[in-house]
Amino acid sequence: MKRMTWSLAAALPTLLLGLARGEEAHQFSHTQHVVKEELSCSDCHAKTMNSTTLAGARVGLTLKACEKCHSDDSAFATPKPIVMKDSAFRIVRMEDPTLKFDHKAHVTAKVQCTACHGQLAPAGDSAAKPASAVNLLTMKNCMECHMQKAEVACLSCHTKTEKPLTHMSAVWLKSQGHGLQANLGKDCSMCHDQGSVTTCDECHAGSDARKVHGLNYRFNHGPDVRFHKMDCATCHAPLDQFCADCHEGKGKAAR
Amino acid sequence: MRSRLLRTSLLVLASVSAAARADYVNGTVSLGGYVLDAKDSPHDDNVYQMERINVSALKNGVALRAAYGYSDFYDKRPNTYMNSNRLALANASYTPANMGWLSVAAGRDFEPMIFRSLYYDGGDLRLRYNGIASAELFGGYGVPTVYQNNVFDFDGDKALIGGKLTIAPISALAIHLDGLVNGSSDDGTLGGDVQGSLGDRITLNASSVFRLDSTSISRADIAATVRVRELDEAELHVGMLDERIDSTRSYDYFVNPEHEYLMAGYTFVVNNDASLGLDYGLIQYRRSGGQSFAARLNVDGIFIKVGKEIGTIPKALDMRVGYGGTFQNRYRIDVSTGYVNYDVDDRNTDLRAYDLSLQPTLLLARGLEITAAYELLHNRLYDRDHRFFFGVKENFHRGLSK
Repeated sequence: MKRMTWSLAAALPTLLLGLARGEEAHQFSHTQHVVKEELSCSDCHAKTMNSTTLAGARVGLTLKACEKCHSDDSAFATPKPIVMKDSAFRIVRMEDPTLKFDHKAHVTAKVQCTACHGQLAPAGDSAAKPASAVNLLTMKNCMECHMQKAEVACLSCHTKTEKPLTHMSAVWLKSQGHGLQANLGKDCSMCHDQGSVTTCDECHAGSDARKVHGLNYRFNHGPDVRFHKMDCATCHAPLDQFCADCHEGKGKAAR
Repeated sequence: MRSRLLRTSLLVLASVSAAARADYVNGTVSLGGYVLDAKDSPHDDNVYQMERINVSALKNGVALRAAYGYSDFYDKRPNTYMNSNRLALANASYTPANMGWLSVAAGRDFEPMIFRSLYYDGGDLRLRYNGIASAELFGGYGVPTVYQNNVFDFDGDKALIGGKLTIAPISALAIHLDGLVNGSSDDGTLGGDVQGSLGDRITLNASSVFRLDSTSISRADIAATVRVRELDEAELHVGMLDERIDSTRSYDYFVNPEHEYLMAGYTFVVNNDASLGLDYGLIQYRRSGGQSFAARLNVDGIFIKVGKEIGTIPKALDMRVGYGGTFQNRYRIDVSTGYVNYDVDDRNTDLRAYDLSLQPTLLLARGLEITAAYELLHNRLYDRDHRFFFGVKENFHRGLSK
């Protein structure tokens, strides 16, 4: 077991080093295309704007779209489509299979592209801007608009059974009660009441009739500490200090 | 008492003031009290008060958050939780317009970490990069739990500094690293956590905690979750825990021993209202070990759980049955009863405890509810311990169109 844990610890930096080797970012100028050539977003991103899924959005820009203008450009004849090699287009959050997003619905609702993606080609900016400046969205960005203008429901964006990537943390996985209810009960409201993010303390500070443990847990928690200490540590780490609150100076059978 | 009332009033006033001006408000105010009557103790006419106030408000990138809890009977009754009279959160954070990659916060905050969670008074700086990476640096003074001041001389050495780093280079992989130095005598603790997914059905997770003072790994865990059918999930954990604390502590029997464990579970989901879960655990200490078994059944609001822990001491048989349901969007009833037969020491004592709780709740209006509860406990201190709880709770939200 010792060897296994040391191997695990050693694997972490190795993984980090491997991931640090990113692909070379290609320069793509939105300013060149939007300001100077006066192209609209739909000239290149028509498929994206008509897509109803994230997968559809990902294939919204292909080499064919570029070749409409660049077919005779020998410098453009690269083996692979430039945009597909560009690391900036590895849209991490937007590729998340646990998320749903309907570009078409937003376009139909007359939401401007810049409302979500920002000004990729500011007027007067003649400098070629790398595509890595593409403004990707976080949940907070979505909520800022949805709180004002649209319905807020978890399952509008999050698929029914999968938890978001950010919820794969060790703490969340081990919070059995919360994870199970959210995942199986398809109920996120325990921690995300109407879109807000609740910390542990918003429910568990102080006391009320809501009990986390059974009423007699003060007396019979000993077996759980012995058999499921990892579960205890999820909320009560470090255990030495937590246990000391009651047991210090009184012994294991403090009364 | 007077200072508490003053603090509560100020908190409510500040909360209401912030809420009135905010674009977005989310909060809960809960007030209640217990009346106790244990057969084996003198009758107690007191009403033991409880309060809980949580408010968060957002306007123009500034977010305010406060959480306060109070109960005034932990030191009068032995079998109640001790987290009383705590200002758990009181902080403000700011995210500049058009600078979503940056946020700063100050005040009393809660920080969940891989190896522990903590409260502190201080500041926090957070940077984000396109959903691919985030970094956080925080520092300040730790907030002691109820007895920490007495037990650990907490005031003498409580400055802390910590940081967190999250990298999600692709959608199927996320790496979390964090570290904390808690007090000048602490060499620090590092935590690492890697999660990945294979396809849309398999999730893998590995985490470890390394303590610099003992230059040893105090925790390591490898877990796999497999979605077998559309909703069914199988889960497997293998790991070790070695919380090396001062061996002079009287409870070291429970906390200190290094051990390895294996836990496996499967949850069958019949439909949205019915599921069955089975869990198995194997734990091995240096000179002892044990196994645990549990079954969980949920059917349309009814839940049944049976658990059995066997092996060297302690041992336990734990059963719980309950029901929770809402009727006509106005009435809610929660009923729960449990029985535990357990043995926690080497004197071969066979202890039994049972409890019963009945809690009706009436939803008066959207977000406003009143509730009452009757609780009966039988344990090694009280033959029949009766408690009555009553309370009112208001959940309020604004700024959402729902």
